[in-house]
Amino acid sequence: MKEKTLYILKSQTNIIILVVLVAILSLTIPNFGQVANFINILKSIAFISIISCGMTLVVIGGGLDLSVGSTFSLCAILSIVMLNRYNTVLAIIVPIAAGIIVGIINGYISSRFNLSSIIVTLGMLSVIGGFTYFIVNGGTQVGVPNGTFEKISKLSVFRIPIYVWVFIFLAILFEILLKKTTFGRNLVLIGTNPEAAKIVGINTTLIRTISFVICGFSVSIAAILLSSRLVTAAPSAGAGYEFDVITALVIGGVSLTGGKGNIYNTIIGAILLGVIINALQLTNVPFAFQAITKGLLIILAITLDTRARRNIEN
Amino acid sequence: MNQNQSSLILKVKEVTKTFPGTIALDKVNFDLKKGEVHAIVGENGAGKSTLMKILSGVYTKDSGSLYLNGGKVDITGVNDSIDLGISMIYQELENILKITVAENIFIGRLPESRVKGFVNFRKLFKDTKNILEEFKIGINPREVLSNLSIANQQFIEIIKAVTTKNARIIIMDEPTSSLTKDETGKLFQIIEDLKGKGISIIYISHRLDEITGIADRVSVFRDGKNVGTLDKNEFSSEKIITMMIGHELKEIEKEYKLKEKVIFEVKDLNIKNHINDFSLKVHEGEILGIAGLMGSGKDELVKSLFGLWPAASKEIYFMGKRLSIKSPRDAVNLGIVYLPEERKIQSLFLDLSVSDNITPIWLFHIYKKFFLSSRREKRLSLDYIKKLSIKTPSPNQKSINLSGGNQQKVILSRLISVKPKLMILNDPTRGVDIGSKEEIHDLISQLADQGTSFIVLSSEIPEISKISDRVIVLSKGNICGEFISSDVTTKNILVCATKA
Amino acid sequence: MRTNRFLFHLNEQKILLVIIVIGIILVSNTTYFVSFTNIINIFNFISIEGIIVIGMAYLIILRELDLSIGSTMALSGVLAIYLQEYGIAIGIISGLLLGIAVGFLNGFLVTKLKLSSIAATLGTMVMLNGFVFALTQSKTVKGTNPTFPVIANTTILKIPVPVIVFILLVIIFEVILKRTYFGRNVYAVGGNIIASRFFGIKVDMIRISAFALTGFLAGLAGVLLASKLNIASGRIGLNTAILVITAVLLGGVSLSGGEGSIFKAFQGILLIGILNNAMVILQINSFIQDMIRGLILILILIFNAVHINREKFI
Repeated sequence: MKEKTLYILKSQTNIIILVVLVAILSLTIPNFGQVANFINILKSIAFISIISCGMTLVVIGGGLDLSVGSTFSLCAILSIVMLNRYNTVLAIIVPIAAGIIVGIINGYISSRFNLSSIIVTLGMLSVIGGFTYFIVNGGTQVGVPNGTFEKISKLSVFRIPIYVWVFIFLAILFEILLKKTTFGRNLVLIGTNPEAAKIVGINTTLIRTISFVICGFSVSIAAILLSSRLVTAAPSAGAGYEFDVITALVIGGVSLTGGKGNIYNTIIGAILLGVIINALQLTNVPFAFQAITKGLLIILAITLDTRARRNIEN
Repeated sequence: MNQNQSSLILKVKEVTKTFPGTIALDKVNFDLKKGEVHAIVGENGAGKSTLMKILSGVYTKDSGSLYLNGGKVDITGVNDSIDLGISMIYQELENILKITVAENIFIGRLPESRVKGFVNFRKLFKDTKNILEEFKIGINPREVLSNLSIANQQFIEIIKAVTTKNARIIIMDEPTSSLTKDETGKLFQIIEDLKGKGISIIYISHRLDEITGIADRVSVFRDGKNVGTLDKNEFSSEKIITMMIGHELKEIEKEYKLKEKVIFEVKDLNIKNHINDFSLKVHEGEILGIAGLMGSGKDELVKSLFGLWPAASKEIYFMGKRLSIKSPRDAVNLGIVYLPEERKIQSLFLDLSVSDNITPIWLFHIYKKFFLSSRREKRLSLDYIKKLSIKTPSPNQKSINLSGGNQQKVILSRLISVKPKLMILNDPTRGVDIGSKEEIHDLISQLADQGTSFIVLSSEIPEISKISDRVIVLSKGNICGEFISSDVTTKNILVCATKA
Repeated sequence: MRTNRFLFHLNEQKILLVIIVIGIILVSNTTYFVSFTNIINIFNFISIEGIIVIGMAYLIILRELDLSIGSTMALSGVLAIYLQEYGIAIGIISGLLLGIAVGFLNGFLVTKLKLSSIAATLGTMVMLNGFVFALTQSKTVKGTNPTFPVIANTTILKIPVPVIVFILLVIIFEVILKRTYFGRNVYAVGGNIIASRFFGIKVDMIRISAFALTGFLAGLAGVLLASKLNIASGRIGLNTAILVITAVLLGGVSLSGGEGSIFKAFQGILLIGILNNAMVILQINSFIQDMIRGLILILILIFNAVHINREKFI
């Protein structure tokens, strides 16, 4: 009985940290514990969370997508451009197509040629970024509301805006994909031991490419929602998103080396991140501290993960 | 008697080393005279590499004593070993291929020029040239190591051992496995030079013809014991092989049922540097063993059959049809499965459960549906856990916690679960305890009787001879012999494989 | 076998060839290309990042990478501008010290905490990046001291100071790499870290030094850039990592480590400079230029991967 409790405690460390942290903060910081604040936290992490869901699949498969920020900008711009030139439908379809294409390129090039997806996506970051700035000549795109598009982001159920619901929906969908389908299982196998996965006959190139495609898709969804909310898009819209996404994953417990983790981890990580940032904001800590915190969190989490890996190998 | 003893540089007395499940060295005695070349022969698992690892500080002995120049010594780590003047030639570990010969030889002690911190290149190349001349090796000191032949790289290793590490004892493990006849001659010349300098050499090899040429004494290891030492004038391949085999091998009387149907055929297989013009046929229900000692090319051969190693040319026929196998996926789709030799790195998903390790090929090959059924998976794993007597508390146990033998059974379950037509096993009982070993052998027999064909590789000759219906012996990339049925004996295989 | 050797040597010199070829094309189209002014232009363009290329070359030879250089550059610039009020010297020295500090941090993370250099420098990049955005409040800050911009904008014999610094550093560090203990040890460690450690080379010290050097050079580049433009901004340095890594790889320094030279890396950045110059002369859009740079990185990676594979088996 005692062993079992210990086991459960160990595997749920992150959520325990979250609960404890929330409890402490609710007591010490005024306004923190209110429902409105919690909804604020959820809202603030919504877009990052949507992207994080997609990125989780990529990371579990052993990759990393640093181009999500640029892809986000691209999709946001495309969305508004399509809105202005054509209609709502294209404002949704074209960015999604773009996200998927980027995913195909990222996934295929890194898998087929056995290249580090970090460097490949770093290169793509430039390519996509440059392309985005090019098509709008560096300028912010102001959208013309047409009655439908901008209403999308205003939808809400139970006072919770649609993008939070989208996040929840995608999270559940991807978790099912990961845990209950052969695709998900193959992805975990590839992330755990790519060589063994190949010998078993898994089409590693295809599976990893699909994971990047799903990531690109998530990015496009998030971008469409943001564009709908702001009805403008700047070519720098997504700059820096990749770092927040990685931070969320890493502090949630998804291993950057692959094979380990799930969407649930990512959710915890994103919420944890949101809570910490929120707390820092409410206590008027200078912005700089927030940045250091994020960086330190990444380093801490990676270190712990590396240690854990090392222990397994020994 | 006294004279002999005083010229002894190394004495190993009753050294024992055990690992969980095996006794690697059993009260082994061994000695080495100053300036002699003492060869050690024995099969894989006989204990020779374990002893060398103890001498070079990689392992520590469990009991027994070591004496250097008459004084008792303790070797607790690699540094101790080096300080004592023992140097092992590791081919890949100690050469830095991308820098020059000179920098390799003088690594860590480059000559300083007048300007502090700067290297005196003139002196470096001059000193290197002198050393190379001393050893009569005509290599340009400025040449980058990767541009040299493997033989020359090896010679540089040896020079490094003598000059950088001041070795008095050099251990060479299968030094000629990648050398041509000329290069071997050159190596022997260097060894003679070393002898002249009073350096002793422990020479591990299976090439009996070579040993008779270069060694002063030969010790034969078998099953963790030093079975006997022969002096130069007592040598004969016949004698040595007999000592290697021992008596307790029960060569099982096998009925060779003539298997007619050829299900798999390879023609004209060529792998650069490893295999020349190779062909083979595998019949239905046959267990074909491929034997060969280090450097024979059998590993690369088998990998290329499975699509893991590109061959310069190969023709493959499966069930009569000409096919191409360019990747493991192609092979698995055809019903060919592969058991890699390094299960921890190449087969096991260590972090995952036993069940997850059994199901991968089945999922993709037989189950084929989009949504998983954890019920069916569990049933499958429990089934195989029972069938193969895999010792695990539950199918959810992480595979890393299982013993070697049980891990191997997990992988075998994985392969068997898709009812393959051909199973290629690379060293199936490596690191496996004796009990599981027997079980695995029986399993292979049973499956063969039911119609599965096998290609089995092993560097343990007795194992190959025990389970195979037919054996092909490789030596240096070529087939040197093929044996059927009652001719499949350890002796026959060894005689063939040990030819230089 | 011989044809392979020949092609390989050709491959080695390909950079010079490409430079010459492009040069010829441009010369025949316009005499402007070879004019003194234009050559200075090219060097002007590559000098700032070129300084960092030197450090990155050392790291790549050691089989490491540093993704944080862009953020270091940006933050050093910010410090140089912000701390001007206490004196230019203070500003400059802070920038340089920051660079060294970041370098040591990276070195520490990699050698003592045993993180992979990509993971570690990713973490520091996030941290510094956030710092920069926090300090600048996402705005561009102008320098207040009139003397400061003079440093990077003066010319000696018509050659701008940054160019002179760049060329001097290239020469100095090439000599160090080729002729000193430190340099030879860098090659040894990059070629075979286990063997190097075995023979008594202080591997960790070499690695930390290389990271510290790169950090310092990034700081120096940041200070020079801040002086040149007389501004500090978070937008600086976002693309630097890609540019610098591309330059080193383009010049022929292999990711597999243990070989290469500063001179080769120099050729790489020079080629990028010439390409850039050509694109400007041909009036290609600057955003497209970004794209092309990203594409080049990906293409080199693919080329390297295919080339290595082919050499291994055929």
